[in-house]
Amino acid sequence: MYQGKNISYSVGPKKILDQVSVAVFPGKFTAIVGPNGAGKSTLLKALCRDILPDDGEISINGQAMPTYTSKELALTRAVLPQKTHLSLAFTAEEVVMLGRTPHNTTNSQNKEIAKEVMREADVYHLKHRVYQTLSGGEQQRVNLARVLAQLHDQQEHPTYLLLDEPTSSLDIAQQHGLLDIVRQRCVERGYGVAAVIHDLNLAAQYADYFLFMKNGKEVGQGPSQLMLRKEMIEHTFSYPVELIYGENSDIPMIYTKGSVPFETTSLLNETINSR
Amino acid sequence: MQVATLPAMKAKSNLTTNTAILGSLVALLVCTMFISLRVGALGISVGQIVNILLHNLGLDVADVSSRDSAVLLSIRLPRLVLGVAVGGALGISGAALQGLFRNPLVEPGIIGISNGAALMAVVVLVFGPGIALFLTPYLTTWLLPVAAFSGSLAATYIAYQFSKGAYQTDVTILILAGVAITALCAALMGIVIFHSNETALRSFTFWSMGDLSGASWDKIGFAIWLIVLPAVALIGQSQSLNAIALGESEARHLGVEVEKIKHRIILLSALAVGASVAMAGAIGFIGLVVPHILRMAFGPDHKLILPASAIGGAILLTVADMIARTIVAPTELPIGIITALMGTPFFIWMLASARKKRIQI
Repeated sequence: MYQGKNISYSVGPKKILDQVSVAVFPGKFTAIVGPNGAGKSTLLKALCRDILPDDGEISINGQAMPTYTSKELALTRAVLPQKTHLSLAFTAEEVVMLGRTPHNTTNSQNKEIAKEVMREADVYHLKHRVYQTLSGGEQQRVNLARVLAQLHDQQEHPTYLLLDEPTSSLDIAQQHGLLDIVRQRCVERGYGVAAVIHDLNLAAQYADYFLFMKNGKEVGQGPSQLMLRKEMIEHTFSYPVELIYGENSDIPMIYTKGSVPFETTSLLNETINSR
Repeated sequence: MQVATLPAMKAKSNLTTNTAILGSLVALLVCTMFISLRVGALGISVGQIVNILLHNLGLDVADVSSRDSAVLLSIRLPRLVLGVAVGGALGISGAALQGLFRNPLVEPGIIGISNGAALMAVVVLVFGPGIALFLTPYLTTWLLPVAAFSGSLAATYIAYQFSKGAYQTDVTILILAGVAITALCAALMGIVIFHSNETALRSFTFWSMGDLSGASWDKIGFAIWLIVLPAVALIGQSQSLNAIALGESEARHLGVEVEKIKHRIILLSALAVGASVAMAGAIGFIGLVVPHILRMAFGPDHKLILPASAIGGAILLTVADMIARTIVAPTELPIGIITALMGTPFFIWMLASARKKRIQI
């Protein structure tokens, strides 16, 4: 289990994370959702050790994160950011091969692995293309292949994949294509997945667990069926929504009316808070 | 900013092609070195050069003239060795710093290395006669290189201290601090120059344009290791530099200890370039241009580009030195003029062609 306990983090006087706890289970997909500025990406940064929280503890598979060396950490979790800017003109295949940096495997083994994951991410035909010449969606799929290559080897301990708004620059088909692969790894290989996702409907289709955040605090977390409720969503996002259920589906479709003036939003917020 | 780094589309790098490329570059370097040993006021044929070198190793193949031998062994060879070492150090440091800073415009001088050295050099050249009164003659010959070396390290250290944050070194601040320190050094140099006499000013002007002519075994014996060893150590950082191309946090996610790598590369570059500047003056453009040419030709993989930049820098500086000491014989031009004259037009041509390529893409 990838666990954060009571994580707090401030920049100057502003508390960006206030006693947030989160648990990511192997083989389960956890979506982190909330309005802009809720602290979702900062929480993910703390989880992948990009920032050191002022307070709180993070442990992976029962072992405290500070005891991990950089290499051990890289063999335990991979991170897929929203967008990756390359400063040098590497080819798609070379970028995927960079995912093998923490491993001691030979060059030819790495090539085989790169081939396999690039096929899976549907970028093998782009392998000789220079990364900068690819479209945003293609670049993101190359990076997906890169993190899959990083986690490719079966480890004795569970491994994790952290994603920060991985689909925000992709079209509908690509969004589902990417999350399908992630979901598949989650189920078949037991990766624990934590993803910051803006689109609630997208998250609802893939996540087993939800963490709702607002103003640096946890609003609620738990299994999707319990968390995807009208009140929870309206309170978190300060916006009125309706939930519609399909005939054979227990996944709700979250539906907004749009054109709600901001005054109404704050009124609504007050009514929710006064309940 | 990245216009200059787009290589040929098919740039493919694997172990065998890398070895072949490095092999051909080494062969080219050896050829250039032989040609450089040949040319000069006294013509010495390649056969004679080989004979003299073998003779010196204790293998007598043919008679060698003692005059040729003296010119070759105590004038041309030390100068060539210094040129190869300095060119190599400038090339590889440029490549490593460009990779580390994720910026194609970086050259070793940018973090203050060159101007820190230049300031100390001008101080020694202007006030040297006064300082020398307190030193033995032997120490006096070392005054300029030691001062220049400490100047370059001090400037880099100050720039580095500014950029050191709580958790990580901010590369943008490091570059900006380097620019500020370079400007400050230039101003202080102005003050010193204001107080200098004609002779000191002329020596400084020549020093600041690069000069290999003072090379003797005596002088380069120690400095050569200070240039070569850090430069060679830089090659070991290539996989980490490849990962850093993805971004610092992405490299960290891949298990690269980015902070350690930063410290290491800055220290190694400062040592190699500082010692180079101390021995040969400020020679521009090699650290900037050589890595770019090689990336455009062979792709950006640092496993190839770092050693290739060392060899390429050595070739370029050897050729430049050959031109510098023959074009206006019997005197010679400062080598920095040649590297700039060769480097700038080529660099501009390269930028223009890279832009065209990008538009086509």
